[in-house]
Amino acid sequence: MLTLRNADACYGAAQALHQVSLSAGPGDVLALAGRNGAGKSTALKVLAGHLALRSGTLEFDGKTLANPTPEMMSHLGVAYVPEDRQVFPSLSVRENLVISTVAHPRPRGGWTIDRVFELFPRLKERRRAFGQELSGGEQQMLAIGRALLCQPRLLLLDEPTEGLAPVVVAAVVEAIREIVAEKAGIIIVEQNFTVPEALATSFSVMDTGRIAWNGTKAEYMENRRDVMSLLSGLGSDAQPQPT
Amino acid sequence: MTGTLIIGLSIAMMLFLLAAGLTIIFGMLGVINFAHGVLYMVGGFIAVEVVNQTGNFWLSLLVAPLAVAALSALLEILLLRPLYDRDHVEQLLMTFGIILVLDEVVRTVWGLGYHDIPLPGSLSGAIPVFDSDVAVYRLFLIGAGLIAGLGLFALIEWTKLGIVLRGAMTHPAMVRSLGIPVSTIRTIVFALGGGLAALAGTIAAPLIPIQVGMGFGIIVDCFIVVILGGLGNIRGAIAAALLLGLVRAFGQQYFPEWIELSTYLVLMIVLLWRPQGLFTFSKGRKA
Repeated sequence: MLTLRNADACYGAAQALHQVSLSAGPGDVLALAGRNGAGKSTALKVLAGHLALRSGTLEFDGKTLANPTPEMMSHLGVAYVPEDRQVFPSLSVRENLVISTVAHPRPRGGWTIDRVFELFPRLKERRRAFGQELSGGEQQMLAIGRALLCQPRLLLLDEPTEGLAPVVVAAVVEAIREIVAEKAGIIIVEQNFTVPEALATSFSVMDTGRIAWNGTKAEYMENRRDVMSLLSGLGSDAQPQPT
Repeated sequence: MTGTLIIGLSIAMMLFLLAAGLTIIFGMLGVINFAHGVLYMVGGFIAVEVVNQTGNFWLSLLVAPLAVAALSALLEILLLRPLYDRDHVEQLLMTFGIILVLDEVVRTVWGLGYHDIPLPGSLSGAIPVFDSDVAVYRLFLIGAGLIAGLGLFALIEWTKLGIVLRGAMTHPAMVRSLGIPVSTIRTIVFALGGGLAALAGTIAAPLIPIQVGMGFGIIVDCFIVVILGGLGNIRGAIAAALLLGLVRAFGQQYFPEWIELSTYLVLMIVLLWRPQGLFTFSKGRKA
């Protein structure tokens, strides 16, 4: 479905991605882990159409996307939940969900506002509250619900459980299971594999803008200890950032 | 007393129609549109032309706002869209450029003299309201302003376009990620603001001389309204327009020599003491 091939990307003069390749198809859950600044969020920004590639390609269903924009990625079925959630502060919870139906009027993937309320009953209770009044956990549920109403074929989740109470993490994990059951693909970015381990079908580790390791679920389980120590040891020998 | 109140309310409505456009354009585009007064003037001239050609004031009420909305959309697409990623100064300069060019175009087409249109027959005369005789046209002006204001409020609060507008004011990138082309939304907002300014120009045409430069005086008052109300805050603009309109009307009546001085003093005090505006509260919502 969505494939990133040999991608280089920059913020101004600083190169943030080096030859990154990632791929996710229907029903896949790709877990992408790495330390702060490893390039995970940057990779998701590229996939969401918010950052242009310097070289490499972004392909959807085998076709190369020449100039991907956020609008285009949304219409292709790629929905984005950014790290800072970007809940609209001056819209009510309900309006934060309705806004997704403007460009996605037909529930092609079967997601309706009522179904989002079933998935996250807390949002239904808070439906009249404004975005700026929500707790971190409520904001995360709202950002995921808003993405689901874009009827995603692929959902990009940037640290969806960061800073959340365990009971909220459980709700988010449950939601991810339900989304996977719909045959949508998911790319989930986290600092480590603790949360996504039980969900993921493939695993990638990023470091200093590069893919440091990747493998299938079986390969991950076989090398679990090595991957764990790779994750915990990354960056400790302070490689200089190439320019 | 009642007469002064009615005049104050009618000034407030004119200021609100202009300031509402100015404030949503700033909220959505981040552009302080100095050319807003020129769009008001162009609306007035188009109204004069329509009335001269057809004799129908009601037609001008429709044609002038639509024509200026179309012109505004064109200006936004051709002149402002390429500048959003640049420094604010360049956008300011561009809106100044639009003033100079449109002033010159209007001067070439309609000349330097002033134009006026007669009060529409059904709206001329005065009726007694409490202790005073009040011009019917003033009441019409207040009514038209109220209808336009309520329409704008309904659009922003109760339609999907309004939800998109409010969302895009704070998080335009996220709105794009939901599949909504924010650049089109910006064009719509600029056209809407220009149309409201032209509506104000049309409604004003039977009361004031329509001439080159007429937009300048009122735009200063509009900026005062926008600053008092809080940039990007429409409810604040309503309150500030009422405040300034009534101060202008009653000031003219009772202490005309102090009115300009005190207005600008209040503006400076607000800028220093509450730069977020008198009617913006940290917990409150901006609409």
